[in-house]
Amino acid sequence: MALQHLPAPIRERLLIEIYQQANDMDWEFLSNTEKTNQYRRWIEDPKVGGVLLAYGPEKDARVWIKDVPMKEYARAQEGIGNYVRYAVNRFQGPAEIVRAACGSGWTIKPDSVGEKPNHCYAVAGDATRYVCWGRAANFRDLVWAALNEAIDSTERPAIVITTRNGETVSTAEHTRQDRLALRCGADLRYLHREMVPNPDYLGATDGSRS
Amino acid sequence: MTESQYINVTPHPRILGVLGDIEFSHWQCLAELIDNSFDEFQAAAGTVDRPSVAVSLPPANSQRATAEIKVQDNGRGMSLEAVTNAISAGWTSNGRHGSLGLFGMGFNISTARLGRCTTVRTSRAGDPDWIEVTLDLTRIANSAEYQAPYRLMPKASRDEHGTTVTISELKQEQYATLCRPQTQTVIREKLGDVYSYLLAEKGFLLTLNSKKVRPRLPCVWDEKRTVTRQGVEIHAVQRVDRVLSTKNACMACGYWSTADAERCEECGQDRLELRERRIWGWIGIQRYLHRTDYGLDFLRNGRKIMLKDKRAFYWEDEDGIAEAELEYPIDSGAVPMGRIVGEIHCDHVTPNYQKTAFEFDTAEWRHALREVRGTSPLRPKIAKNLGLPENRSPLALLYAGFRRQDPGLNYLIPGDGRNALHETAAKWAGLMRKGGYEYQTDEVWYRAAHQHDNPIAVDPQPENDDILPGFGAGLLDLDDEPEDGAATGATSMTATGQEPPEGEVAPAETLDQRLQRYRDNADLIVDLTGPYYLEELGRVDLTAWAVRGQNLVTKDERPAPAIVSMVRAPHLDVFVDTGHSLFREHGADLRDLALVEVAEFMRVRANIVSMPLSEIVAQLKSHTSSPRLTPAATAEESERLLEQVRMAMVAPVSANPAVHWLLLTKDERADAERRFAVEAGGTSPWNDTISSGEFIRYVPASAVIRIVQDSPESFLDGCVFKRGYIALSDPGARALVVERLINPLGDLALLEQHRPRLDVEELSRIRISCRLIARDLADNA
Repeated sequence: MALQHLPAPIRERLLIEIYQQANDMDWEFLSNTEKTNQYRRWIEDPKVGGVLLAYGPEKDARVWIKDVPMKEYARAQEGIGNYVRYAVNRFQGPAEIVRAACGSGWTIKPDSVGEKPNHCYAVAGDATRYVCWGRAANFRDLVWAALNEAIDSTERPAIVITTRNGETVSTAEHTRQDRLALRCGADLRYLHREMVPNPDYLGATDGSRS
Repeated sequence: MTESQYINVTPHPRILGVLGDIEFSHWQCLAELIDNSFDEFQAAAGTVDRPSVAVSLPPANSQRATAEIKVQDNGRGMSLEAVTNAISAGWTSNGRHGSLGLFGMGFNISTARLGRCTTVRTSRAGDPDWIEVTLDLTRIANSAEYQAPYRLMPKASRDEHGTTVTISELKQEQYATLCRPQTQTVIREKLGDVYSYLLAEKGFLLTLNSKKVRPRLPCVWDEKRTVTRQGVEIHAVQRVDRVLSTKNACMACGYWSTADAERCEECGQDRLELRERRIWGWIGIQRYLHRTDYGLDFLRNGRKIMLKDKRAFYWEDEDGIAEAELEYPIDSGAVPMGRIVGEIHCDHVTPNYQKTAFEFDTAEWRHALREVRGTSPLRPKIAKNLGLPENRSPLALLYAGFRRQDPGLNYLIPGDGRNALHETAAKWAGLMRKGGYEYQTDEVWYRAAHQHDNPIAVDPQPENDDILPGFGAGLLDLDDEPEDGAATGATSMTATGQEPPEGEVAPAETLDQRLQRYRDNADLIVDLTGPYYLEELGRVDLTAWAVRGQNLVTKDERPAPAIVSMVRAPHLDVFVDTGHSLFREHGADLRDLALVEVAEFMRVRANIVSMPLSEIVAQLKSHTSSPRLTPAATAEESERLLEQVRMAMVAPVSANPAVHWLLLTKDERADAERRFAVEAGGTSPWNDTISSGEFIRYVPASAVIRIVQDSPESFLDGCVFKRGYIALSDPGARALVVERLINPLGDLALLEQHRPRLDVEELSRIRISCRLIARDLADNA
């Protein structure tokens, strides 16, 4: 793809700009139509498309925005992956999840954080537990991952369903998920998380919203 | 003397359910609950990181038995005592001031209206548990007690905080309507409008079913845009900011008492609090006209109480005896359309309990209205006739600058050199609200207003007659001037458009550079520019250019009067050579030819060449804002222009009214008086109107023509019409000038006074007459 030749400083500037804009517009709360419109606006935006089009045709530029920064955006907000430092605000990360799933006294096993679904291993003394987390909409993947762990492990796996400001889960859905988790032999916790200003942020912080 | 005896007047617990019978629409019920959260954020003054409210409504595939409505915020949460108060009808934490809350009843009315069971779950950061209170209206009504059970539930993390209101056991009718996607769309749009200020300016987040509610932003001309009236520059945005004297707000009844009062002057209680009072905001000019979508928003604590309100556009005399008179819009012909909008904050004015209006009979409301519109009529002449002072309010200033809707920069109305582009301007507003990148600023509208004053027309004389089109004048200095005069501009131009240095062969101009050269020598044809979508042929975003002084060639270098080029899908450029003989000598319509090229491009792209070209052109044309050639549209245009002519004639006629008055026939005088009675509403005597020369505004068109013919020297030479007259000494030449003006005027008059059956050719002639008159009107007309 022609855009692979993006010089590193320019790529960095683009990532900061796109993530800053995504943060300002509450990307995670946009409808699919609004996201599509936004991709078009980014192409028209001199600070984004205007720069990218110098390195390749428009369709490649659009694909790059979609498949590189925005594909990683949700993970960066979780504090996972190579793009964390571009996210203006993010969640505190897996430690908060482990605390909610297992209580204090458990810590994250080093280098155990992975994705699809987001997961890690929590340790306390000799015990090791599998913990995975995600949004209520991805419950099916979480259950499947927990089931696969449960049959290989003596410890009960834990599923954490996370919500954020602006997001709710209905009582009916909540109840059903509780029953499903019970049937699968997994612990289920609900955790409502607040975002914090990203401590590893690369961009200038004066432009970010309070 | 008997001892006093009492009866117990505690209402039956059933009353909580009965509150749900009060008329509240869906969005109002939700807004009551959102108000509570937004109030809390404003009271917390910045201590909540990102104030957020999530509303969820049951989806279309839900079951009523388990369906629920949730309103969840991340505010500071409540203690047990606070939540007890919050759900008790009639209790309110902060009196009737400083909050959006409805005197303690809003919560009970809106929850009871939607469902039979309400749960409030709340906790403050640091508290160990969630408090969960359940208000089961059926159970409460059946018991003799007002009692709601609560339980404590451990939190996943002590840091969690906020309040969630969940309404379940939804009422059948409410549920059936609420789960419709269409209803949810309407609610979303309404909330985006009502809370636009808090969402856009304060950064509050409001989601509906996990999708962000977008604030409906005003689409107004920039503050830097101005028009000039009588030497005064009037900005398109006027700020309002008036700090009022501090007064004592009564926490019991809401009345404002003087600052030194110790008891409420209305109810006598001593629960007074000194409060700042301020009326602030802006009024401005929308970039498009609309029949209903204009007017002023009045806000309280950041929430719109009245939306698009048109009260300020009526004049009522101080005594309020006569009927209020509409003052705006009164200049827009058969269908009144307006564009004055604004956002006025008046937190100290008491709203009605439904929050759909203010208490109009209070001094506070009258003061707020006065601040915006003053007390005299906005119409200066009417004010003068009534002996009232000149109105200098912000609204009067905007009114003076923008009351009329003539296309061009003089009134900031987009046009295409012939007509106003009202529909296009409104279409662009839709794109602005969808977030279209180039529609965020008013640049597109401004260019279109500018284009009207500098219209796209066929070049009467091709520029650079004696050199090859597309070459700079420097070509003349070249020794090796081509002999055949063939215009192959592209081949001997350098990439930069400069002449090549002597002895060097110029690098050929690339296609991109050639197209850029066309754009650099072109004006945008605003009325054709924009998105087109045809079902079978897909979409193009067209930009149309009227190119001057350049010979156009296609990609494979074939000369053509009009060419298209797809820059990047779906953007399509169409270029028209305004100097081409096809337009200049054969009189072809350059817009139509541009559309023919676009149609051909679309049909080839979709590989449906069997589709008739003319049919595609017809469909494209229906997308454009080109004025329709219908008797009604043409008549309206004629009337509008004649109105302008009459207005401009007032000044010259007033110099010697009697002379002109005497030219009128008996019937014309009677006609004029009748029209005056209808339009001026008898604000001043008819005789005064005759002696001031104002009568000319009411005379029939036939008389207008006779008056112009009788003394052309009063009206030509830039007074009403641009054409020169005085400087001509030859009587024949003078007669000719007048005749050339009277002929098109006669066409306009014909349509104003009669509605004959007209065929297309006659309509075309009248349309051209309209253009000729519009072109000839002096700038101050």
